[in-house]
Amino acid sequence: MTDTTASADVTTKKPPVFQPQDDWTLISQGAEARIWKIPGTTVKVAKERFSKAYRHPTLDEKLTKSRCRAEGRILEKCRNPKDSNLVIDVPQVLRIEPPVLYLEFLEGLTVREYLEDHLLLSLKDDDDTEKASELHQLAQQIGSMVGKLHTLGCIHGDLTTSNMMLRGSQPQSKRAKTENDNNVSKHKITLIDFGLAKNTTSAEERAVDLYVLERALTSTHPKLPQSFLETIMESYKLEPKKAAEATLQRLEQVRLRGRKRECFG
Amino acid sequence: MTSRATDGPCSAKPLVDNLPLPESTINSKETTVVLGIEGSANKVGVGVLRYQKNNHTYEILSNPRKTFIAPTGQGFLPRETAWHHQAHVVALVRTALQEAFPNDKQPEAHVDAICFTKGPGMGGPLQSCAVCARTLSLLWKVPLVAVNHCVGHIEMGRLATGASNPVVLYVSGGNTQVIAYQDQRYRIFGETIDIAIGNCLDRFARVIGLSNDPSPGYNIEQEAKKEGAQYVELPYVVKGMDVSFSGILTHVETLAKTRLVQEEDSKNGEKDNSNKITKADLCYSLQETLFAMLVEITERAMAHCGQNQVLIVGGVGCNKRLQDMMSIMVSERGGTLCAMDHRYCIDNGAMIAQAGVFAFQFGELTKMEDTWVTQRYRTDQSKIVWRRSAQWKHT
Ligand SMILES: Nc1ncnc2c1ncn2[C@@H]1O[C@H](COP(=O)(O)OP(=O)(O)O)[C@@H](O)[C@H]1O
Ligand SMILES: [Mg+2]
Repeated sequence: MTDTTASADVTTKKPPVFQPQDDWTLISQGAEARIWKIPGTTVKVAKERFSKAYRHPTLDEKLTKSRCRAEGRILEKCRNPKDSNLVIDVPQVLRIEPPVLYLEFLEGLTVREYLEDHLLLSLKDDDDTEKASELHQLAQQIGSMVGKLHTLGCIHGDLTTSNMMLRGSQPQSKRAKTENDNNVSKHKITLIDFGLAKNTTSAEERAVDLYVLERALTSTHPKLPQSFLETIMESYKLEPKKAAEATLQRLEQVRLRGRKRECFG
Repeated sequence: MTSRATDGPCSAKPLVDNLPLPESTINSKETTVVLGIEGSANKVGVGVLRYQKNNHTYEILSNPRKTFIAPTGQGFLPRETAWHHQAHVVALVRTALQEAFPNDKQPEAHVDAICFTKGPGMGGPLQSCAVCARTLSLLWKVPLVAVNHCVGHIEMGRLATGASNPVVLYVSGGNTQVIAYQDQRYRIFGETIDIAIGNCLDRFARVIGLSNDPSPGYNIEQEAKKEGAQYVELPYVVKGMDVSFSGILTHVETLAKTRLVQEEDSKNGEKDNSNKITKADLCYSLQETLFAMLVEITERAMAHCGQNQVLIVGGVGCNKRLQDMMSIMVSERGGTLCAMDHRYCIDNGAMIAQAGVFAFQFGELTKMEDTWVTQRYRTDQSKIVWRRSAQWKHT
């Protein structure tokens, strides 16, 4: 029997059964994880991957644990890469206790929220130059961030606008008065949710990563102008490596495969 | 194999996302009857569907079908499948009409429009059915309505279950997609980046020598249920809301070639079988792995779109294990899984008639010169004019 009395160093012990405290608040219940906000002098979050009764227990345990570990590992790699030019803003990892991951809490909106509630709200063709330039900047930030990630030898695996946050951005309602602070350039783009991320040097995998992003953008934000994607790809290419060229070429093939797929039945 | 229609009329009232029918001569009639012809894969079917204005219901009057079954170890080839459809489609039209209007000397006089599958599917088989549709249109002097095959599955599913706005998992021989409606399109949120789920199962069935009768997927399911089937770890490939099956297929094929227990081995006692795997093990593990991936991306789409109803359409949807897994996931989320139903899972003529009649009632006819068919026709390419353009809210 393991002794469960509270003691000093949790990292050296078997992790206790995960038990959210009374003062924690649930901020997101997604498909495979619950995100709890933990109050304190430094606010933290616990990302709890829960077990899925529908899948085989062996598979379930493998997936929840390996994704938790992969997420922690790659977050750390993004924060402290060997080449300091490749630093990507991601939440700081505080503790890895599969299936729970403790992270720094990020104050801000997801890019999805920011787009839908602000940038794409009543966006007309060309009259709103301010929003248009903000969109352009946002696309640049996304493109160069993904470029760095790939140069680092990682893919994200789930590049969607829900998995990017803008530090310090605020909901429309709270924002009205101080409209000058609204600009994307003032908010640092931050990448989250690395559960499907992995280390890889395959151009195919990088291309699929971009393909997922491309499809997520068009299906989630049908109003997004075509130029948004183009800007992302341009900024992606500016990253140092020739590899970007190879990846974009490969992306062409991946897209074609999608369109040409034999579909019947 | 002829299926008889025994299903009663379905009210369209639960479909709150549908727009009211526009004023038009056709919509002022008490009844509207359309004929639907489907033949995009190995099944050819003809359905007669009647809309009744007074109670706003749609009813399948008949829905006969024939299936082309390839010999064991082979897939169905386009040419033979086309021949099969050509050989049967006229008789099916006749049967469908007679069944729909039993005592009528001129049953075709009831038909207001002919709906046919434009794609996606295999060229030859699609073409064979389109030729039949065009001929009937000229003969009976009624308009044509081209239908996207997948939209047919979805609309029949919505009507049969009354689920107005579900997340749709479309799983068949040639397709694997997670779909949610937004802005008059069925948008594809996730899909396979290589081969379709049904294709993966069919090819695996061939490798281990399972029969195509009634379908390879059905035989894998039976094999997987055998007692003592052990779980073998396989690759698991999910990318966001997309999935990839080809690597898994290669992996199980290799396992089948290298580690499968041979019949003789088991007869000779168990001496050296410790490292061996049975067909049942492989079928079971393959299902567990592939279906977990499908359920996972469906759940992602639900969370993404803030939706809590799921509709599974397409032939692989008949698999009981997939339904069970989906049902567990959905109930854990407090949602509902629409009941499975032959009217929208397996390809048939009535589902083409169902999507077709919606289009027809909204005046969407297809000119003769536009009745060409296409092997590639993505679900999000056709405009869903009969639904409100409301968007889902993100959570
Ligand atoms: N470190 C964090 N700080 C603040 N909010 C977060 C943090 N991590 C996640 N969230 C919020 O929770 C949501 C879901 O988290 P995510 O890691 O993407 O898990 P899931 O696997 O459920 O998508 C995010 O979209 C974001 O709104
Ligand atoms: Mg996420």
